[in-house]
Amino acid sequence: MAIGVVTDIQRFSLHDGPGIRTTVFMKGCPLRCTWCHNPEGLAAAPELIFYPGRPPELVGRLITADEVVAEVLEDRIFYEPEGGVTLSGGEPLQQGPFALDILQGCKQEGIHTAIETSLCYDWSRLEAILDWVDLIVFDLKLADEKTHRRYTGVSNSALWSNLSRLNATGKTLIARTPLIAGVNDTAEEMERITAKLSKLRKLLYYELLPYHPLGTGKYAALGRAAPAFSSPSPATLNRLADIGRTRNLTVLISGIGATAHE
Amino acid sequence: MNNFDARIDRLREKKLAQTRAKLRRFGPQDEDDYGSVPPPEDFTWRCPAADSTGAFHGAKAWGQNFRSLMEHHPVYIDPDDALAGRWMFMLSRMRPGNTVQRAPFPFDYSSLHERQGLYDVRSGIGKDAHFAPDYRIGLGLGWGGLKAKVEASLARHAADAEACELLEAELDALAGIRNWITRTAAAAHAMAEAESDPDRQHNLRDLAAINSRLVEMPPATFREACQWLAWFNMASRTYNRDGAGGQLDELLRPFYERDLAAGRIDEEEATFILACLLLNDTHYYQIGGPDRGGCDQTSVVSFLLLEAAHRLRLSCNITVRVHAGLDEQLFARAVEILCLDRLAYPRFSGDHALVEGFARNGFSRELARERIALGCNWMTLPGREYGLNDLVKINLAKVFAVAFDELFATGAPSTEALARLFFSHLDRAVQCVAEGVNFHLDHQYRNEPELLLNLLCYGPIEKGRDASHGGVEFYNLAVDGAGLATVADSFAAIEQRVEAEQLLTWPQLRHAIATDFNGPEGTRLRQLLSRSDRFGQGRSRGDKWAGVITERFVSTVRAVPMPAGYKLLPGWFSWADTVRFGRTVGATPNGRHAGAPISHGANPDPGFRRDGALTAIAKAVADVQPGFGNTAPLQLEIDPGCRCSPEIIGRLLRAHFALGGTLVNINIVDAKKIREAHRCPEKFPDLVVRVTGFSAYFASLSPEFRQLVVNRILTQEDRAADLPTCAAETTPQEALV
Repeated sequence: MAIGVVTDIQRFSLHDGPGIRTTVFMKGCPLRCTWCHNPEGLAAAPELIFYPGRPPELVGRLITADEVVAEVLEDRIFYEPEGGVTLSGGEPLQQGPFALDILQGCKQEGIHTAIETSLCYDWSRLEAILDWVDLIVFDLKLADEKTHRRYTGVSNSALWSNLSRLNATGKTLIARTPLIAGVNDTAEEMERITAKLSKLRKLLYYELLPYHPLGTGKYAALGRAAPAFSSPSPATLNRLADIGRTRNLTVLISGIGATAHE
Repeated sequence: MNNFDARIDRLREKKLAQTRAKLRRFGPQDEDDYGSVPPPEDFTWRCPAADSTGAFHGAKAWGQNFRSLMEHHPVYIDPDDALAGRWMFMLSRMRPGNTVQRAPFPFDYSSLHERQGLYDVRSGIGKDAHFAPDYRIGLGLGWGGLKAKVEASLARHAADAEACELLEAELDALAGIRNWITRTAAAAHAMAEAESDPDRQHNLRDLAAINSRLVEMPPATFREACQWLAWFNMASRTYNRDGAGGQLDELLRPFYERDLAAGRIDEEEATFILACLLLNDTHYYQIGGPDRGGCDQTSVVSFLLLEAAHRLRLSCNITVRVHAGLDEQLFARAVEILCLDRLAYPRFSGDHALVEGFARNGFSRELARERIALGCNWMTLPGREYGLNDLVKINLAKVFAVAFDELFATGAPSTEALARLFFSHLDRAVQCVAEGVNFHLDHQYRNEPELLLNLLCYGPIEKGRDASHGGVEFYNLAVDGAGLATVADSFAAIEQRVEAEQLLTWPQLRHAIATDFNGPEGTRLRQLLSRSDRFGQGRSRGDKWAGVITERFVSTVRAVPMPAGYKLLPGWFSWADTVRFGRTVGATPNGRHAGAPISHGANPDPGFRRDGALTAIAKAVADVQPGFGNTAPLQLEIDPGCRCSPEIIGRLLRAHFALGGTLVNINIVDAKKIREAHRCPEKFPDLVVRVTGFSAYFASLSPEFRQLVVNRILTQEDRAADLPTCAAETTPQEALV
């Protein structure tokens, strides 16, 4: 049974896939998105975090996949009909064998499984877990390879090839884009991203996630400088959403299918 | 805007003005708002039957005083209202020495005082109401018929002194009520003559005619039935607060169907009349749920009641009984209105666990289905059961504190030794409660008979015996434990930090508790203890202890011998006593400061998990159900920005009930609004929160109580600041239309 490092396990999660879910935040991520809102999830090892007025706390705990599954099963009765477990991060597939054991354990208990992943890695990692995952939620941060590398530290070329192979498997997918003002909130980015998305066979929806500053306090507590970003205006959000909608995609803004308030 | 809508709007505004006036005149009220209005400034009245101290007891004095109060009660008529009358006084609270903690009682129980004080027991001795009438008796007989019934019984019991005193007092009560209605009808008539607006004049003439008839006759129409219920409610409130309603949809359905068939009413008018009934008072009503045979009772009237509450948008205590056969549309609409109005109605009860629990007392499931939600936390058989519901409480945190103090005098301390001491004191506390309940049942009829509720019960009038003294069929007495999470978390903290991890010693713990975590070392230890395993986390030490304590509490309460087959039904409920109970308890090993409130009902303490998962709370509370028909309510605070759709809330409710839950109260309040309302309550005169089983205008609560509600909502928010977040966590309300 694999052991892994998680930063937190959140029950009653309504943000990470359909229905009521338990989200397992796994520690460690190969990307370094400059706007990241979970900086405590970047390093693979447990680390100390210093919140003002509180004793230092250890972020990240070693836990067996069995223990994670037991925690997931606590809310089994609440998952019906479409909820379940979501592995998030960090990048869950940074801890491939651990993720696999959790997914297998949950599937064997009849729990719906999902992962939130960057797809920026070798196909073999994804292939190893495919039989045990019902839904793959992936991020499309930037279509342009150079800009992607500039803002996340890695190329997106693996993402595109993984996406087309995933599409061939017929897996259910959700695509998301964190929208950062001045970085990726342009019509050109949106055209390129949605052109790719419109070719997917089983895309449930495409969700736009305007940048939020909820993670900034954590940067200070980790002794790092918080990034200074802002969200696009509601008017921009609506314009970008409409680009996706003209390609017949179901586009949500922060979970809602309505127009942003101007 | 049609006529009904405009009238409701005016009635609502007037109600909010009256609530503000009550606050100005009487100060904060940490309880239900009720439907009362302030009496005229110059109104004076004195009990005619009282001793030199103002005290009174016994049926005769209560009958005379109540009759006089009714005969002097100001008349209240609003030309917009479908129903006449408002109540203004509570006779029971006019007695000297009456407090929420202790009722006047002219019989000596000083032998219990030492234990009652030691364990902070709310004994229920001398407490009143908290069981329910069966309105069907009154709707069938009317005030005239009730009078004839009492007179006939009096004639049969001429040689029975107890019966004669009671029944003569009942006649006094009836005479007083009839006088009040007669004067109201006359006033409506006079107002109609003077009214120039034709619509208002028409309404006033209707009110005059309806109430003239109702002095004697049983109600014949839907509106008359609602007016009759309002009179009983107002009279019963005036007598001793009462507040228990009934299965309102089923009570009114025959009247509605008759009027509809005769072309006398339509849905719009019926909704308006129901809104006026809900405005008249905040009585507890159940809707939906199974009948005796298990068939769902949902009717068009159930829906109209929900719509009436939705239209009125004021404090309201409707409970939807959720069972396997519940009309799906009623359930969906109920949850939708909870989310739309954000005024903490309706509440939801879980039929399966309630029926199975009550049946474990040896009663049939048919009977159990008739036992319905008519109070803060309680179920009762209308007209058939006496219960002291929500009146008898044991402060488990105090029992724990007694055991903790004793621990260090008895040798080597250990969690096991502490648990032994705690359970032995719990046994003593429960024994003390049982003795108090029996003492109350022996004497209460000579202190404060239930003159109003007796009228709508099966037995008291027929037998000439008060409901508290053998008048009714069933005596199932509720005993609630309070402070479960405080105690479970305290045991867990000691077991984890002192014994398993050895991060502090017993003497260090003792010193920290004795000094209320004073100084830097105290602060450090408090942080250590308060971040230990909590009840509600799931599979934690706190959960284990909550289970152990529940099991022991239930078995202790069930084991106490009671005379005449009376039963004690264990529950977890603190009502709004968390503040008062907390004041008597020093610091506790869960990191709670001396004097701070104890935990709320059966809920985990706020901050029990970093994510505050509602599923975790729902599961934890389901896991500690005592299971004999008394409840352990689940209190949920939901932030409207958390994507918690009506469908999700519906799933939470269904799952909680499937796990064994009995009753759910939900506040949907956004943190920003509650913080602002706490700072400037007067800016939010119509913000209603469910404090516990009851709801109240937030602005009418004392600052201390407001803080309590605020803490429940904000502690979680503070805890959540350092959580990993999903990129999608922007509050949708802030971004979207």
